[in-house]
Amino acid sequence: MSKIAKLKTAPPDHLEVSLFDPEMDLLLRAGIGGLATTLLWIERSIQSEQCDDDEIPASWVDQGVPWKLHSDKILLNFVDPGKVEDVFKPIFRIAFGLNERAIDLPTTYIGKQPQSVRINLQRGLMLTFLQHGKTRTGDKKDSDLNLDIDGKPYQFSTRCIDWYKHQDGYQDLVNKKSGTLSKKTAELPGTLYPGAAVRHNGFAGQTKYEGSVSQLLAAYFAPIGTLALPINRGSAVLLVPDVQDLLLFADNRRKITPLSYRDCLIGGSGDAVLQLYARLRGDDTQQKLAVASVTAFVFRPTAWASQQKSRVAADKIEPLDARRLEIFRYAKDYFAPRKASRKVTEKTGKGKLAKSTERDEFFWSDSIVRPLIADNLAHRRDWFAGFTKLFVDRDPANGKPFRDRLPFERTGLINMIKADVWDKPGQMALIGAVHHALRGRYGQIASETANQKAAMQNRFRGEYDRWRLAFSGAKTADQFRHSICDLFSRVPANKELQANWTDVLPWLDESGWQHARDLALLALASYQGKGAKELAAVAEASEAGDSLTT
Amino acid sequence: MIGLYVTVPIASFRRGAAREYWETLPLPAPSTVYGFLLSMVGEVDRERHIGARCTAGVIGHPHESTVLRKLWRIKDKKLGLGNGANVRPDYQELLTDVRLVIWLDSSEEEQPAVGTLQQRVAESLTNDGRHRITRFGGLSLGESTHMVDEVLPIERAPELADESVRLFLLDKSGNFTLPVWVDHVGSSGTRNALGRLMDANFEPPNVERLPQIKNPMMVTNK
Repeated sequence: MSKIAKLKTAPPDHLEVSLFDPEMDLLLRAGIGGLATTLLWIERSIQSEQCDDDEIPASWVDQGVPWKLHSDKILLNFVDPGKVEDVFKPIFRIAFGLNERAIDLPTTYIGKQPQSVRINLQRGLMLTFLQHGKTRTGDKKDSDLNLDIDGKPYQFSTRCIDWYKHQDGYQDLVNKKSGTLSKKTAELPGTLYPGAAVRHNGFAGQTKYEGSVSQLLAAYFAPIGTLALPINRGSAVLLVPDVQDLLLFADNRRKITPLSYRDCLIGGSGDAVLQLYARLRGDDTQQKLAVASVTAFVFRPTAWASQQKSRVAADKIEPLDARRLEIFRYAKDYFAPRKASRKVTEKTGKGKLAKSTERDEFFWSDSIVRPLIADNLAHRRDWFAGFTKLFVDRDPANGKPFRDRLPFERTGLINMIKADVWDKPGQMALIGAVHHALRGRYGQIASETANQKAAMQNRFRGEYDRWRLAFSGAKTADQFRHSICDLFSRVPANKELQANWTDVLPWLDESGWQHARDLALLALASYQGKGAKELAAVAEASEAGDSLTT
Repeated sequence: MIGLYVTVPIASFRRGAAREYWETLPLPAPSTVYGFLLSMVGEVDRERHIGARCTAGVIGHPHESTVLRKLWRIKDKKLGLGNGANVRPDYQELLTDVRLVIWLDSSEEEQPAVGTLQQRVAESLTNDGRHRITRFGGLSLGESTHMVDEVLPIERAPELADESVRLFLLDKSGNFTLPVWVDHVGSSGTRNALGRLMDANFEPPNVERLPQIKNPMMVTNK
């Protein structure tokens, strides 16, 4: 038998990564955007002569960079096809860094990134891309870190890291024996493509998620093209922009990154996406955005996989129209995260030598109303839709009812109601009518319990709880109508209702009663006057009682 | 080209990369449409009508919801399917009241002895042709439990003049990829088409903009 000579083909001397390759899906296209961002950053560093000689090869400075950036593709050229690593290694080294033992992605911001932002973004990455312990080395436990913000000490918790998988990602793109570009398909594990897990672990080899070398390269740069932000310690949102133009995206990517710790605070996927759009726009609301839409993937532990953060929701959100954008701006202003403090008591020594010292610990407390408004606007609903949930649901992070935090939102709610946020007749009138009725009820209680402070507070609280339960517990239009008419009937001469009765009435029918229920509870939460002040004082006293003892 | 009006009360068209949290596409991919048409005409060889062009358009906006359901997987090969560790819950997105327009063109299909897919589909919609088809199971689109309610030629569909339809059509600078051939075991054999969801009417689209069903392995072997 004659031997058939194996045809040797020359190793590839270039790699084209195209934004419009049919095999590139949303996340991978964002990854190509991340690669373009990195390459543009290097080009600009060379042009401005601000590059670090250790990081950027001298040949790139002298003879030009070995790639060409286009609006729809990236062309990487290999002068020596047997030494592909010479091109990839410096790019990966620059893109994926470490600063003070925290993940640092220098191409995603300009100037100096505050440490508080860096450790928060790292937490986002660790809840999405870098979940598994094998994808990083460093400390096994979180450590506390005190950072000064505006002259006040804030305590943060962070995990110190010495290495992570993306830093050595270039090795997977190279054929280890020949040093040429790998031609094999490679696995895209959850570290590179969160959510694309092995389908059947019993047949892991056959059912893993795989891609070509250009897909693998795009997946490695996904953390730069996307933005991962933690919602709390156990859940995060991965924001994946729909990249349409690589040059435009690379030029604007840095605007997506939060500048301060306060900007990192988000309450959900809608909130995260709308804040991203707001950063991208800056002050120019008419500006053409560098991304067509943003898809938010939520990651959190599930009851059946508590060790890992699984993908549990996906939401494609397009930029808002001018009207909704205006309402979101009000929400951002009135429901901004607030600085709060609590007393921390520290005990040292034992027996007679035991000493207790008390100190103030500062923290950021985020709004629970802004995320709701953002979600509603993102899904083109009325901004107050689902307000009832804030009276019924519990915070998944700590199991406490959301309604306990509503007294702190009262000022914001009052400002929001007074702002230009009402588009339909009767909505404002319904709130005014409920306010009038509550004022009447609290006034009656005050006159009945004059000079009996404790009894007055109990009656105020009982009255608040009565309407809270009546409205939030209403499951049908009839039940709600019964409750609200009961409230209205107890206080005569409701001028707001008398003047706008015809506008209010449609909200109480079968199709509108749920909106009316949300509005009635919004009115209850935003009521100011006698009774509300006493209830707010009780809530504040309750929060102060939550001081920590260590 | 032939146009069909198809309704599915409950459906889910899973994205390929969504292996946890079964996210749905807004409409069935060309590969899903092709599988549905093969099932409709009783064809069990999925390579029989390679070269056919097909796509789907979704009428209106089906309601989207998320349910928690039981999914099977093979984690422990020694256990039976759906037993012990081989079953787990997960979330799945569902679409309800799905109404679709499906376009099929077989002009680039090799002429098999049994006739082109377009001919067979057209025949299956006649009373005589329907009786000549041998097939098994209920007709479904997407998952096997997501049963199809009605299939009609587009000309016999209910009044659609006031409706909007979003159709998946090929576009070299599109932002939406859908599979035209699926590797049901891994993912390396899956091939996608790049296109865009476009607002369209109920007239037949340009044939060249319909995604073509191709098996990458057959091309490689040739």
